[in-house]
Amino acid sequence: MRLYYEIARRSFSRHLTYRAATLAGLATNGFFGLVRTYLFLGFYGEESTVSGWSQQDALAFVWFGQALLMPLLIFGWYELALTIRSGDVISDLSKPFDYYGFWLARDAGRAVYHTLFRSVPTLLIGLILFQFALAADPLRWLAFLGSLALAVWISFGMRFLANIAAFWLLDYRGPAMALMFANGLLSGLLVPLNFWPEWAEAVVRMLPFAGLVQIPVDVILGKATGAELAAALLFQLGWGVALMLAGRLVLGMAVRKVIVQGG
Amino acid sequence: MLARLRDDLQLYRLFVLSRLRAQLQYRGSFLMMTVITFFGLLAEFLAVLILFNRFGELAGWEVGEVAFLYGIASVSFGLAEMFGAGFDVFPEMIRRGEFDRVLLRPRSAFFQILSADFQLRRIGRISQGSLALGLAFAWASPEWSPAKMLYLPAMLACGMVIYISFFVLGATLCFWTVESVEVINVITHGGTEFASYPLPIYHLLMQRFFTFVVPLAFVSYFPSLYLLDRPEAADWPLALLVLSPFAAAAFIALVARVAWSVGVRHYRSTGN
Repeated sequence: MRLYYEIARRSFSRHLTYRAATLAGLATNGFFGLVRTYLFLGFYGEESTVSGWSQQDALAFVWFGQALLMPLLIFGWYELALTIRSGDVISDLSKPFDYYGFWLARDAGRAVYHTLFRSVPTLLIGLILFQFALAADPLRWLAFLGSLALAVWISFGMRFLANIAAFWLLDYRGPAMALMFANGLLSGLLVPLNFWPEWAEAVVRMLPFAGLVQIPVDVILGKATGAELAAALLFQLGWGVALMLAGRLVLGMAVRKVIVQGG
Repeated sequence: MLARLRDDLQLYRLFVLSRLRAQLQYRGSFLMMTVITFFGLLAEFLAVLILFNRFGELAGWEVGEVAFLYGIASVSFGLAEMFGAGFDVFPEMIRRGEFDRVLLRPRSAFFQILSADFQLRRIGRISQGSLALGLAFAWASPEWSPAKMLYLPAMLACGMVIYISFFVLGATLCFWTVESVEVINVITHGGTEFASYPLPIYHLLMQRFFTFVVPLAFVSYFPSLYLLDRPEAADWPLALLVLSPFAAAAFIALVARVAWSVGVRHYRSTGN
């Protein structure tokens, strides 16, 4: 366990060095937040509540969505696929640690970094500009953090599968790119799922993507409480486990297939 | 002068053809990326339709009209990404000290960077934007005249020039920072999102900023007022409304071109 903690810590520190990129990223999140805030205000117009969401809820959704982009790496991640392409994967596979655990630990360190240095400032920008209401209940924030952690795990599970496909595909970018676009729409990032037509919402709510943005936002907005909250967290946990099992299974198939050409 | 221009165009054609040949070497990969981009961006557009399905209209604009804004912004940006890709690879050239070589060749640095790359796969975004435009025609059914039919492609070209000018300005900053400057993404990618919706939904300060400083409002909003016969068009003299996008594109292109020249003069090599 100590080893994985150290891996996560180093991954966290490594990200600390990219200061200029962090500022540029914040500017982008802030700008998109601004545009999307006015988009939703424009759609609401005189209406105060639509599909059970008040204007305040919609604004909070916009800024939480922008804040979650980086911890969940909604816009794609190719790091693991690149090691397969370069062949470095062989040295990682032969090291005395669990390969899946190694990448998960790295991703956890990265996610903590992104939460502290991208999510928190993005939310602050939104709050300063629009003063939307935030939950005051510490328990709800606790539930939100748990939901966020599970969301990162689901996101990692899907990215791991998309990246590991590089063992079979010549072009490593395809699956990760497809995942990125699916993330944007199906996670509820672009349009909250409760604004979808009911039949579509019912389908998309069952997919792992719903566990990325929609559920954590539902949790912090207080749309899921009591038994619903427990069900939402269990849903995330279920997908986390399922994706991990799938990831390990596919990894096993890949490892059996790898032929080292020597170096 | 004219002979020189013809010579430049000839050279540009050769460069582009060689880039095309290179990109089509990996046909499967090229097709996959293009198709994924197309469907991916379609998902983004679908999000807009879902919102309209729920809310009905956006500040007095109907779904077809917003699809029109969206389509113009998307096609213009796709064209800019296709033709202006050279400025995208430029930061890497600076970092590696390859720009020294550019300065030694008997053509302007600007021309060489512009012709350094051509990204055919951007056809993915262009066709997605065209689809949005097609749907806009079907839904909003604007009245068409020959003048409007000429005006639409001219507006797409203006939009492309505006976006490429942003790319050039972003690349110009690299003369000072050496690193690629990601902040420019705010006005290119962010700008496309901004230009996809009607201007009046934004805060007044944003409206002014993106009209008078960063002329994004001329990419889609002002041309659409005329093309769609929106009631807001009556607020402006027709000639001003119709000609302003040309002026905006010319202005920002000039700014970008002058800034670029200053940058080239300022250039210090990173060595090799």
